Order: sequence, then C-alpha cells, then structure tokens
Amino acid sequence: MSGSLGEVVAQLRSALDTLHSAAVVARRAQADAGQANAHFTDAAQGSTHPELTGAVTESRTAGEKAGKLARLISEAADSVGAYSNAVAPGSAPNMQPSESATPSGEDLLAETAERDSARKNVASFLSTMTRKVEDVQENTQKSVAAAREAFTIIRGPQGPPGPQQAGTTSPTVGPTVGQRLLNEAPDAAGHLVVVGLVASIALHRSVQSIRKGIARLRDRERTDRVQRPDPRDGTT
Amino acid sequence: MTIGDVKATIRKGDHALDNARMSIEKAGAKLADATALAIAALHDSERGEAEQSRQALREAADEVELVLRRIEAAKDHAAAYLATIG
Repeated sequence: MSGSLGEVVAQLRSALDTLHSAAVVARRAQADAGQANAHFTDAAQGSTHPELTGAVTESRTAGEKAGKLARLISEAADSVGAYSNAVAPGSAPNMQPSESATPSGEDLLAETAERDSARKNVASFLSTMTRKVEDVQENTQKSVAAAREAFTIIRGPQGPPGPQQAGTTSPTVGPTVGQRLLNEAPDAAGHLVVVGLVASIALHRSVQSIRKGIARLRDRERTDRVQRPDPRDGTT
Repeated sequence: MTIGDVKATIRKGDHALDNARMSIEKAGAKLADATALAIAALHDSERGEAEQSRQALREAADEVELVLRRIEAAKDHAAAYLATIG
C-alpha cells in the first residue's frame, strides 16, 4: 500500500475515536447487566430455584465480561495510539489511558438518547417502509443526481492530484480526513453502484451501436456484392 | 413479594438484558469498524506496537461473543423461570 504517512495517521485517529466510543458503549452494557442482576437478585429473595439462581449468576458474569470488554477495547486503543505515536510522534496526543474508559455522565446520556431514538426508529420502521415505497420514484430522480455526482468524483475536478497529503502529519488535519473518509464511505459505495449501473448502460449502448455498425457494414457488403457482380456481369 | 411482583421484577431484569445486548452489539460493530481501519493503517508492520494492537483488537472481538453468550444464557434462565411459575 502506498498511503502517505498523513493518511495512515488519519486512519489511526479514526480507529482511535471509534474505539473510545465502543468502550463507552460497552460500559453502558455493563451497567445494564448490573441492573438486570439487581432485579434478578431481588426476585430470587428466598428462592433457590435453579433457573432463577442461573439468571442471577449469568447476568453477573455478563456484567463482568462487559466490563472486561470495555477494558480490552481501551487497551487496544492504547496500543493503536502507541503505534501512531511511534510512526508519527505526537500524532495521538489525546491518548486516553485505560482508566478513562469510564464514561462521563454526558457520554452515558448521549448513549441513552441515541438508543431510545433507535428503539423509536424500529417502532416506526413499518410506516416508514410504506412511505418509502411511495418515495421510490423520487429516489430514482435522486439516483440520477447521484450518478452525475459520481462522474464528477471520477473526474476528480477538486483538489490537485499528487502527494498533497504527504506533509500533513499534523493531528489537526488527520482526523478531518479520516472522518471524511468514514462519513463518505457509504455514499461512495452508493456512487460506485450507480457508476456500475451507468457503466453497464454505456456498455449496452456501445454494444448496440457496434451491432448497428456491423449491420451497416453487412449492408454495405451486401450492396457491394450487389454492385460488384454488376460490372463483372458487364465484362463477362 | 407476590408472584406478580416476582414476574414484574424478572421482566425488568430481562429488559435490562435487552438493553445490555443492544449496547454490546453496538460496541461490537464499532469495534469491527475500528479494527478494519486500524488493520489497514498498520499495513503489515512488524513493529511491536502494531503486533500488540492486532492482538488487543482480536482479544476484544472474542470477548464480544462471550458477553453475548452470557446475556443469552441469563435471558434463557429468566424465561424458563417465568414459564415454571406460569
């Protein structure tokens, strides 16, 4: 791979950011499993039913393992940060030590809000789907726009080609590039599909025109044959 | 605690496990994204930090499966108990 150091640092930075947020979500899961364990323990008061004690034990283990997962993710982030700093000193300055994987109240609130909206999304999924069917026509128009955009991407009019990123080892530039890559990845994939479609249409068209060309050649040949025998007939 | 209370409490526990599972799945997805990025960025570097990163990412990915299994086991037990008390 011929990625410049700037690109590598940007990728590592994105990986680090994603790892940190993964650790926060894992901590959240640990808290939820702990809550489940508290409920089961509560319900198991004075009961020795194996299923109930099983639920208590397993939910406790689940919580412990979720905590271990958060720790492992943070350790992975530390290693990635260490590598980043080794290849480009100072590139991962905000490296968070494992301990700081404990999320702030703000982080947890954000997580909860996100999850609630995810749940609402599932609830409204069906009605959205119905609406989406009606939107298909509109989407077709959008794809055409996307196709146009895809062509501009392929032509690449913006940004001079070449090693413009070679010197961008500064961490301020890194994450933006990485984030942009991340954010645009699905779009780019969509564009590729559109490009594929457009390419196949173009191919189809050119095959058609080639066929027409062949047909024309044949016609000409035929007329030639018709015309040629004439003089031959004339001479013989 | 009445049977009804016990049932309600167990259902709350089960709901909390659903939340835990959702979070673990999300953490797993984020971890997978981060791993893809990191592996690409590490290339085939043989530096100690690179090898350490790869191993740490692998261990974390393995742990995701283990947590999910424990959550499922707890949910199964809770459901089985609810079934026995009717």
